[in-house]
Amino acid sequence: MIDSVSFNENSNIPFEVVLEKYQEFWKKFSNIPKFSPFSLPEETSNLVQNLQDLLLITSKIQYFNLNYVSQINKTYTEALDKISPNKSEYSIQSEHDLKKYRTFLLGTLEESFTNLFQSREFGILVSDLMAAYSEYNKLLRNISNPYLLSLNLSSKDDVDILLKDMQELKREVRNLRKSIDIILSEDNQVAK
Amino acid sequence: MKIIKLLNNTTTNPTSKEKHPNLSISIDKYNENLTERIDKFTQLYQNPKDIDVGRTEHQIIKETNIYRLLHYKPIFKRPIKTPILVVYALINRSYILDLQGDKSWIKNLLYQGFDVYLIDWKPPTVNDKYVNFDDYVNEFIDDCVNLIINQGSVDKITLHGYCMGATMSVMYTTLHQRKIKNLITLAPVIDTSKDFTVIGNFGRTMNVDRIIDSVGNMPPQLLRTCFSALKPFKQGMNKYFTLLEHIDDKKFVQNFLRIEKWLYDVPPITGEVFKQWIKDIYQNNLLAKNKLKLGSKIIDLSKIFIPVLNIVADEDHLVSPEGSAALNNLVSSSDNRLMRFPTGHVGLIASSYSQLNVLPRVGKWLFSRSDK
Repeated sequence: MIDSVSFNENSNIPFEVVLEKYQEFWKKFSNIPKFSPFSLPEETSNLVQNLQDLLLITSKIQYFNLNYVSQINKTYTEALDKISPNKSEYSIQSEHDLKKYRTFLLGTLEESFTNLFQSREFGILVSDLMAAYSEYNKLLRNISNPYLLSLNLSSKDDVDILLKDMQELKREVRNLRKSIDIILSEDNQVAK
Repeated sequence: MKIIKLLNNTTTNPTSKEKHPNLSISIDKYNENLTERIDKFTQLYQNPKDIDVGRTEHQIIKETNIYRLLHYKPIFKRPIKTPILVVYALINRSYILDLQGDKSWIKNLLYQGFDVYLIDWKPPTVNDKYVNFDDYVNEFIDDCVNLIINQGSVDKITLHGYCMGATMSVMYTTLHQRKIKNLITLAPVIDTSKDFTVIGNFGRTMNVDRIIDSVGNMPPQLLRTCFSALKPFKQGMNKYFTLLEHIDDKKFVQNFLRIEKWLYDVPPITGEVFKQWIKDIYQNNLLAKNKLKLGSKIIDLSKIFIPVLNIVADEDHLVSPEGSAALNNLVSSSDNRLMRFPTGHVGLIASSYSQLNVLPRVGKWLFSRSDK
C-alpha cells in the first residue's frame, strides 16, 4: 500500500522504490479517459500531470538536499575526529598558540572538504541537485504557460525562439559585413 | 563540541592558569579586544563605504550591450608602438586587473611604456542567452582588434588574455593570426584532462543542458556556489580572522574590501557560452584535441606560429597549472615560452608578488618582441 510508505531516515526503503510506487499511484489519475462525455478537458489532464511531476521533483530535491547535508555533516565529523582535544601540543596558553591552533584546525577541515569536493560522487550529487532545481523551474513554467496564453502574453518558449532567431540574424549580418569589408579592401588594392 | 571542549580545557583550566598566570591574562585581553574587533567588523560589513576600483585613467573608445573597450592613457608621450589588447574572462569583473594603484596589472604595463587596451565585458542580459564563443571571438574581440589596428595605424597587436579570456585569446589567434604579433596568456584553460581542481570535477559531472535550458543564462548564485567550494577554510574563512586582526589598519581594510567586492561581483554567463565551456572544454576536452568548433571553423592550436608567452601559477586552485602549461606543447611557435610562478590564480595578477616578480619578466619578454 502506497499510503504506508513513509520516507524518512529510519526507513530502509530505497528512494527509487518510493518514487516508483508514487508514480504508480498517480498513473490511476492519468488513466482517466480523455475522449468521453465525462472526460476531463486536456488542460486539466495536463495540469494534473504537471502537479504530479512537481511533487515528484520536490521529493527529489528533498532527497538530494538531505544527501548533500549529510555528506557535509559527515565530513565535518570526520575532520573533527582528527583533532584530539587531549593532545598537549594544542594547549592554548597564548595568542600565538591560538593562531597556531586555528591554522591547524582550518587546515584539517580544508583537507577533508577538498577531498569531498574533488570526489566524483559529490560532483554527481551537486549536478543532480542543480538539475533537480532546474527541472522544478521548468515545471513551474509549464504550469504558468497556459495562463500566459490566456492573457495574450508570450511564453518563455516563444521568447526563446525569437531570441535564437535574432542571434542567428546578427551572425548573418556580421558575416555579410565582413565579406563586404574583404571585397572592399581587395578593390582598394587593385585600384592602387 | 570538540572545539569548545578543547578551548574550555585550555583557556579556563585552573591548572594551566596556575602554571602561566601572565599568559592567561594575555588571552583574556585578547578576547576582550576580539569583541571590540568583531563589533567593528560587523559595522564594516553592514555599512560598506565606497570601494574604489579601476581608477587608472582611461577612455571608453567603444561601447556595446556586451562590452566596453577601454584605452588607458599612456604614461609616456611615445609609448611602445605595438599596442596590447587585454582580454578579460567572463567570470567576475575586469577591474581585478586595475584593483588599486600599487597592485594594478594595467598600471604596471603602462609604466613599462606599453600602450594598453582592455575589453571590459558587461553582464549579459536574458536577451543574450544565445550569444556563444563564436560571437565573443569572431565578432566582439575581432571588432576590438580591428579598431585598435585602425586607430593606432599598426599592422599587428599583442593579444593578452587572463583565465577564460586567455582561452578566448588562444581561440582568436588560431583564426586571425595575421593581426597578432605576440600572444600572452595568463592561466589559460587548455587541457582539462590534466585538471584535477574542484571546478574541474564539478564541470565534468554537470548536466549543463538541463540547467541552462531551465535558467537561460548561468546565474551568479550557482556560480558562487561552485566558487565557494574552492579553499573554503584556508581562504574562505581564514581571511576573516586575518581581517579581524588588522581591523584598525585602514589600508589593509580597504585592500581587503576591494578584493571582497570583486569576489562577490559575479555576473551571469550567457547560456550558450556556459554550455560550450562545460561540454566542449571540460567534458570533451575538444580544445586540447584540436576539435573545438566556433561557427564553421575548427580551432587548431598547432596553427599558432607567433611568439607565445604562457604564464602559469603553480598554486592555482581554480585553473589547473598542468592544464594551462599544456598550451606550450600544442602550439607550433618556435618562440614559445612557459613561465611558472609559485603563487595563486589571483596572486598572479593582483598582488605585490606579481608587481615585483611577474610583471618585470613579462615586460622584458614583450619589450624585445614589440615594435618601438
